[in-house]
Amino acid sequence: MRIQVVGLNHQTAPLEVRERVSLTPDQVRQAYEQYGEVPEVAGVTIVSTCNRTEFYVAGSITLGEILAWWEVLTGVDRGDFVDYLYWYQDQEAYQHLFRVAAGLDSMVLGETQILGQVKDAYRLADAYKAVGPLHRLFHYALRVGKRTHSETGISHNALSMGHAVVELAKKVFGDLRPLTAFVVGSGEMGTLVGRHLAANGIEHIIVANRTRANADRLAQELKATAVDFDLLEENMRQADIIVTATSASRPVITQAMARRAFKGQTQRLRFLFDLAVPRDVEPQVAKLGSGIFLYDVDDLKGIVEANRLQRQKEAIKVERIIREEQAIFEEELGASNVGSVIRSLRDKAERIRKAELGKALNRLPDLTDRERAVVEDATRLMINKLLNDAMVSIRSWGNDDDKAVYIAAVRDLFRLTDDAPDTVSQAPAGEVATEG
Amino acid sequence: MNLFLSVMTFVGYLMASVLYVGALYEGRRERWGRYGVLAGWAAQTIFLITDAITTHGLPVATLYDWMSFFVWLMISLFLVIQLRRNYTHIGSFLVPIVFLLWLVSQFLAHHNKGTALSATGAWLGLHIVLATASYAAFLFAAVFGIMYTEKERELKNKRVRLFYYQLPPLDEMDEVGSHLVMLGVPLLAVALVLGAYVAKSVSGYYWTWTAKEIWSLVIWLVYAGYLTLRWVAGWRGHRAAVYVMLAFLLVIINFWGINTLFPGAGYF
Repeated sequence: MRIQVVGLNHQTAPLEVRERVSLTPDQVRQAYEQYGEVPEVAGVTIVSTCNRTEFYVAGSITLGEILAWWEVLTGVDRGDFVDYLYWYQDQEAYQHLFRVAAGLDSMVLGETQILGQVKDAYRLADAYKAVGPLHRLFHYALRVGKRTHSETGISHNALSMGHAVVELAKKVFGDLRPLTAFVVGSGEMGTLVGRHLAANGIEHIIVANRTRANADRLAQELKATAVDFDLLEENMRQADIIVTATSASRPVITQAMARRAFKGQTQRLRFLFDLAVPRDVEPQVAKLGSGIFLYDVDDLKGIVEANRLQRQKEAIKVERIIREEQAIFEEELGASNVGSVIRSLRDKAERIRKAELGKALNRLPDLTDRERAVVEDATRLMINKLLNDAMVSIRSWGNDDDKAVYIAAVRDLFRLTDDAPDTVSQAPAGEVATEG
Repeated sequence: MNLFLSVMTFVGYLMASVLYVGALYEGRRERWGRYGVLAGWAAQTIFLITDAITTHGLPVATLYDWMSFFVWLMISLFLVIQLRRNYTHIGSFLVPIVFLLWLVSQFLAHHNKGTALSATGAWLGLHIVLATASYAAFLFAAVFGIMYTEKERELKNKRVRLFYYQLPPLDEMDEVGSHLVMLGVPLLAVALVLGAYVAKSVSGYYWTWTAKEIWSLVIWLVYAGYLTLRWVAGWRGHRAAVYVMLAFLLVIINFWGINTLFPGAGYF
């Protein structure tokens, strides 16, 4: 059974193309309803997110037919998107799905959302009984995703400024909830980081802005307290985390101010994030005490970069998981390949034996029960002994791609036609027993 | 049998030391490190029990015995902590230190007289166990101090590499370190009082101004000083971490220096 994937993603196609050919949930449902009518499709699952649209198809349907189907579903001419497509078959297709599920193919390396999207896509297809022979493949893909997140740290470590601020604060303080954060400047950046902090459960957030109304607006959103911009020092003293993001052209927190504000508390852990360019906090502030950490935009970029490297290191482990799971999956697939050949061969022999035995016994009506049994045993033993060596050899070919052609030869030689339910295969490797 | 157990302890702790340090770079090594610790710990436990049975007492009579016991206690505490909290990375610092202590102890003379405890009985035993437990708490505190300063260094330099990713939050390490000292100070206080009581029953004096006694008192004062500075002067973080590291140096001097320089009567 051939398994193929056709699709496009954020790496191969620009947004204008992706949005035109992506399928809405309704269109996906429609596809599943129609799939019985599309010839040579034994199973289909469509993964469609904002970053990718992919058709996973089992069966001997050709690429052209899949594209035709895609055209019908979206109403977009294939000429408009064919240049952005990738198309993988069998091993490459499995590997692709495993990489997608693990987040290796995502825009943000190692993100976890895609795993949920793959799972949803599979469930939806399953609800329409459209998955067919793809069940095992998706089962393994979800397993890869699960193992990825439990065994590696690929989804850890922030890759955006807002997350990095929260992450650094956690590295210093651990639990953020009992802390006080002071956000100076309620512009775009201040708002963004304020939201991140609030989302991480910081109990007490104070907001200051030169235009008081803007501070009030942000404070309301974050359930925070707005204070006057003149009261910086008092509020700095209370705060464990200080975020500055004003558009001031000169530092709003000078060393002298900080010295007064932190007087007697220089050993207390305190994290200042200066997200403004030009900087809002004089760099000398960091030297006021051993408990004071001051990070500016470049420092944060450095952290994000280090995190990216960390994720890339973890990606190597993920690749290893994918290789392991792919090997197990292919072995299972191989076993089911030869399984069906063995089954058909044995069935055929048994059919012949029964038919010929029946004819022979009809011509020998005078046999006693014991004689009949002897004849029957003799036929069975002949067949078994003849096939035994063949069965042993065929079993040993199961996982060997080079031997796939032998299996095909056995089929040709004995003219085996499968009467298993999934009789679509024309691939040399023969049938896949599916439905796990 | 004893040789086998010693070799097993050696191999177990050595393997654990290497793997726990390696676990900082590659987390999967931690599991085999733990097996190594467990193997060494099990061997050492059997060793100590057989030793205790043959000598009819706590196996803490000589410096060799005592250090071996101390190592055993440290590893036991480490295993207990691992059960409760995921402080795997203590192992990366603690296990190598403890392994070295154990190794050094193996080269000390261990003519086990087996009589040390019988004379003064349980009080001496309790004195030694409490003092040992307090030292164990101080060593753990020092390990937290090391971890704190390493992680702090990366954060200050803004070049995050290893400890940034692996170690617990600074604030938490600071807290745990101070809790350990809070645990160790009263334990050592009780141990000192018991020691004086035992000394009275042996020599007739509570306090004889031996180097050992003075040094133990100094250690207690140093750690009590830590708590005072923390509570009164608000010492935290970096300073507190460096303080517990230096303070443990005093304990190490107590281990070897005093016991080798002044090998008089007394206990450890």
